[in-house]
Amino acid sequence: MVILLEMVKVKTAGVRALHWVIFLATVSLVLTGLYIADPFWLSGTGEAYQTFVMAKIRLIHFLSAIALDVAFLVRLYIAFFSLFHTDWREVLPTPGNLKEAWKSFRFYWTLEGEQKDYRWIDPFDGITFHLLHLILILQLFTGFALYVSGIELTAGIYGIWAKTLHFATDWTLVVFGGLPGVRLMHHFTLWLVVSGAFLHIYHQVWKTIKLQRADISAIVNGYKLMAVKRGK
Amino acid sequence: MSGVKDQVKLLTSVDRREFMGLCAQISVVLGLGNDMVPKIAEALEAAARKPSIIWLHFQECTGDSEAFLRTTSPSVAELVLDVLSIDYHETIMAASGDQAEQNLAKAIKENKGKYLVVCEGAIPLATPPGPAGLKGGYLTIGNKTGLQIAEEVCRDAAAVICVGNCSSYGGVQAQRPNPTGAVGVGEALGIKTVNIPACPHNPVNSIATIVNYLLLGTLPPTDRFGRPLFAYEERIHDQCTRRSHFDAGQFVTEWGSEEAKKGFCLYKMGCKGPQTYNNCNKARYNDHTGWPIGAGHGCVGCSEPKFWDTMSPFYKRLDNIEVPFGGVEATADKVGLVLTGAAVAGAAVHAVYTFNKKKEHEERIIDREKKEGK
Repeated sequence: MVILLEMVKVKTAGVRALHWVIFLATVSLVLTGLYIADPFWLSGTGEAYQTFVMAKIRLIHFLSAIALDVAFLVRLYIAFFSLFHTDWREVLPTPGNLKEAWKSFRFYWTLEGEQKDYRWIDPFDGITFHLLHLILILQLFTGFALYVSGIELTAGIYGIWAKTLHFATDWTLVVFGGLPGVRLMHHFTLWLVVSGAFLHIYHQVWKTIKLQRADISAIVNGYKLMAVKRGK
Repeated sequence: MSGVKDQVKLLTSVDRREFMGLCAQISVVLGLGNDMVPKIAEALEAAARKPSIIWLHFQECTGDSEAFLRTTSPSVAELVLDVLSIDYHETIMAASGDQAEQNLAKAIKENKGKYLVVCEGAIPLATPPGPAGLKGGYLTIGNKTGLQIAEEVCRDAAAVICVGNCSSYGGVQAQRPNPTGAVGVGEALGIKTVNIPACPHNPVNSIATIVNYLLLGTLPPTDRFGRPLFAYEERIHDQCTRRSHFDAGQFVTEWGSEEAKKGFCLYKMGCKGPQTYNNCNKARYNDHTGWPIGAGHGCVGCSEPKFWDTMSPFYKRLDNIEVPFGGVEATADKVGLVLTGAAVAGAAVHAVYTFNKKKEHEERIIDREKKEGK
């Protein structure tokens, strides 16, 4: 039995860069977010005007959030309009994808011996990413709701920005029961992101070892292995 | 004799200086500036008859009346005798029994469509058990339920102003499980009210609302919870006197500690300033001398709807959430840690299980390959 393997390009440099921007932003957001929720270490010393620990960490949190949101939007654009490969269909929970994902899931739980080679996002990942993206969108809306809660409806350009954010996020106040509810949801969703990230990393490592197709290298150098021919 | 006369005079009259002081104070609260002070004075003087106020009590602790009676600018004497005509107020009126009810009926009849109603306290809507149970029967005054009284009095009012969290949103008696079905006055009657929440409300805000009505003939613009924007547009956190310590990362972690004495930020002690809209930090209580955070206690969010449910525990950063299994309460952090732990543990178990099975699978694949390849 011979399995011929070939390096195939699966991810462009742009997509890879975006992935790592999202990774760094998420790590930064989780760490600064946990600090803002409970400033358990790092406290200002001396007079209040000499240190701005909380203010700086909040600034990093906001900048990382903007970086994540912009990267997310760019990635969404690429998913639809990439010249190399449009992959938006692979993360939608269509009946076909769900059926394939179920097979992948059975394979993942060692109930099925083999999985066919997927060049692009495999169906199990597709569903995971779909849920992760919904979580991120929830974080985006609750986060902006908290961000804009302290901003008055001032006049001018800044006022337009504040009004836009209020218009876009005020529904979260109704759904989650005011600012305390939105805050609780934002905080709890952080843990969903963390556990989701753990599952994502574990699944990729496991898949790479199990399938021997160098899946992880796809996000580093853009290439993975695919079986092209099977013969004697 | 003259001493008594002087005292009476002191109680019943306001000199020009005091009166202008009051006008300036109201102008500041309303955010109108110096130019409007003469206009306010004019509006107050021009009111041919003093505005008629009917003050109703429902499920409450009279804390808002207490706060109202302790205003010093204007003082209660000025308020009752010179500025407003408080025709019915169960706590401070001299009349009692049938006479009091006659006063109420007279005030409604004489000023139909012109009087202001100030409500204090929540209205229960639930029906008590038993044969005589009637809707809202948990609160009855003179054989009428609170709901009936509110409907009768508010029907012909020019405006309804709700003072305190109870009349605005239900307050503590509307906290889960809310056995009496208490709701705010606006919700009970299905009408739009101006809400001046807080526990108790700051009388500066209710008086400013009344003056706004006298001055402009309209009620002040409100946010989505019916709170006047002049008082409730900004969060406690954004104008807090301890804000610099928040930005500096200087927090009180223990009551009575050195940090507490230095006046550090109360964020870690569960201060709800970042979630609360009110002007306590600017208007302040007790003759503008103090307010909770100034006194070293975190904000509990008393001007927010359902604050007993959503803002508690008052001395912790995070609300407890109910875990669906077992009805145990836990914090979001605990649930999150369990979830993340489960993810990591699941991954570990899965890894061990998979690689134990690996050999079995390889054999199965080889078997299949053999069959296919003969």
